[in-house]
Amino acid sequence: MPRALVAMSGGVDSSVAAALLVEAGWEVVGVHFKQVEEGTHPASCCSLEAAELAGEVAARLSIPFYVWDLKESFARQVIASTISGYLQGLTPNPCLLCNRSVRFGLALERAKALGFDALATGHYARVVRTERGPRLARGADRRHDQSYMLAALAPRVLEDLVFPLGGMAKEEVRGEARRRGLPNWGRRDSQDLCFLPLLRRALERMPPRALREEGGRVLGSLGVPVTVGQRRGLGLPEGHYVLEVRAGEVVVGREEGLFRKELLLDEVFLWEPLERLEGSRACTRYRSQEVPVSWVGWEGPFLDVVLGEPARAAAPGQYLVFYMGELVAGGGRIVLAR
Amino acid sequence: MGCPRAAGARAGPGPDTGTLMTVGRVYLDHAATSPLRPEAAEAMAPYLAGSFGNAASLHSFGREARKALEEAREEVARAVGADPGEIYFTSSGTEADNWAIKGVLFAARERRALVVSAVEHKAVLEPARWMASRGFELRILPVDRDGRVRREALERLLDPGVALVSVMLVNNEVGTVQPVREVAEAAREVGALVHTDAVQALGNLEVDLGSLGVDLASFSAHKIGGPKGVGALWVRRGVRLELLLHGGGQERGMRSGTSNVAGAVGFAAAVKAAMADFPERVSRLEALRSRLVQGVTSRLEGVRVNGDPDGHHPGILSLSVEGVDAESLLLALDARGVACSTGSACTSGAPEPSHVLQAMGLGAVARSTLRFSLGWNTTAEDVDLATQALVEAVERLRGR
Repeated sequence: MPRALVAMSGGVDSSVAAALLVEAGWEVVGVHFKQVEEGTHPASCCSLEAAELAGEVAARLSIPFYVWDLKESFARQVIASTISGYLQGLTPNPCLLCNRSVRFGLALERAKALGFDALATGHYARVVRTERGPRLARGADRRHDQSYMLAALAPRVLEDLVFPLGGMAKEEVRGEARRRGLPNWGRRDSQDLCFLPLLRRALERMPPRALREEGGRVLGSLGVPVTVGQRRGLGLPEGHYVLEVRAGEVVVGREEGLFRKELLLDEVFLWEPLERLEGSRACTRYRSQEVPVSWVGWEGPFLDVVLGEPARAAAPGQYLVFYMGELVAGGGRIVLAR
Repeated sequence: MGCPRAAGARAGPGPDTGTLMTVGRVYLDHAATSPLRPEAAEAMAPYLAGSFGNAASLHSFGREARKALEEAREEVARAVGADPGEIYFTSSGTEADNWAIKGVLFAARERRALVVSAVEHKAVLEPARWMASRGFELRILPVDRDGRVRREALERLLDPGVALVSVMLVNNEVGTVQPVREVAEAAREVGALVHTDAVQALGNLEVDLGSLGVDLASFSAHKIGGPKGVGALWVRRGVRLELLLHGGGQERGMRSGTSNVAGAVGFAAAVKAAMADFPERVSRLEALRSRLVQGVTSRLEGVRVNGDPDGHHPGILSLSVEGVDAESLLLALDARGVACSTGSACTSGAPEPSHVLQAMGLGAVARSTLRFSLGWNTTAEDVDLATQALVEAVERLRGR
């Protein structure tokens, strides 16, 4: 019997993932990862309630269940760079970082050391075998597809992963949970960042930056983190969006100013040869529209990407992910959008 | 992908199959809970099935229950050198601890401060913190590297504003025995009351409340082979104590709620059994504990024993294994059928690095520390199987 370690958040997706593996004959062990101090966010995946729920589901499935304290590594590898990113005017992507370095980094390492054949999660994504090795593909449920957040995982890591929900639709998953009487079938999905309150506190005393209209006058100042494309909560004039965030100022203007055709990337990961990426499509945010890629090439240490159509609100700090059909072909962190 | 099943994984059906078999499994987590002693099961049986009376009722059914309850109280009192009139049954050790802390502080007139050691069980620490949030002053008594409180450190925290000092008799994570008699002497000099959480001490150390010098002590049945859901608080006569539970006035008006007669009877039977085999069992546990230490340290490098080598619980062993994280090791041992724990077994959702080890200045090794706790039915074979499993698991985890 193959053995799988299933990461159980307490949510409906990972619970059904565990149930499906048990029914498919795997020897399953559930683990809940504690990434943030409990109590910082009651609705998040790291609350005591979530851990208890995960434990309840595991008991229902008659599988062993453990809680692993990954707070320290999460703080060092994800929280620190997220806070410093915001202070530098970036829009960081902590979920992608966490997947790469904590969940499918440290936790996978532990799972392998313990002799597990696979680490399974409830992500909506698929691992597809190709002639060139395993590749990550979009989940069948396009609306809930999470391949963007997993894009930075190297193909050799994919060999050890199982995503039982990759071929399923979210509604089906809820139905499966309900059919099995899992206690969390109706629980709402966690939407916010799991360490949002902590992040807010850390950024409370962010040095104020000038709020300037594109090509013109200063409207005031801002002491809170903002992201490119943001419109609400800043008291901006009607029809205005954040167009650019720089160290000393935030530039706002009309929506037309949000579209950029050329992006420079660092932290580049390529799962396909560069020449194949021309003609691929790109996403510049989680669940954003795909846009065609017309040219890709190195510009010094950075990867220069020219898009066939302008992308909306491509924010430095977020990742661009290349897709070839359903397959994730690579990506990198946006450093400049022009 | 191959399927390298761990050697000896999950031998024997678990409780979920309804057969409660322990064949092929080794239980070294008695400090979390101990299996029910047959003596307790036997004593309880009539009160689970036939004799159902409410001990407060005036008819013959009630009298039957009341008689059993009072005999149980006498048995428990006898074991700890107390007067039965000073023993109050509770639902748990946690309730007894909560009652002692809250009851004494709420009853205190002028005194507003509370001193508790840094290594107390959460059942003491959490009510203490809660009282601090209600306007009382909490003073935390530090411990040394062996986990022992020092009289000098305590004296620095004592003044006439202190209402209560709470120091456990023996620590549940590292097994260190506390100098409670000295604590009590020091506390008495400033007129403070003294509570001791004796949950892990009962049945494993001599507990003589007549000479210990404390005013309140908490006990629990299920750590020594009694049933879960019953504990006791001993309160020296004359101590002013507010109530935690108000209602029908059971337990001489001190603790309302219909008496758990079967629980009390099982508690008493377990205590009686523990007293009957006390010297023999304690020396056997000491020998088994040494055997485990010997076996592990002779085969593995980088293993240290935490706690006070000169005064420890006979069955509790805290081991730090260099270079291995305890969470992985626990899982690997569980897969090999060996049950132990990474700290106290209270909340599955709170795998904090142990506050006890941190207070001992061992925060750095807290993440690689496991607790093995031996009890009344532990055998040499159990210890040898656990040693073998531990050595294999550590070698495998270190091998990468």
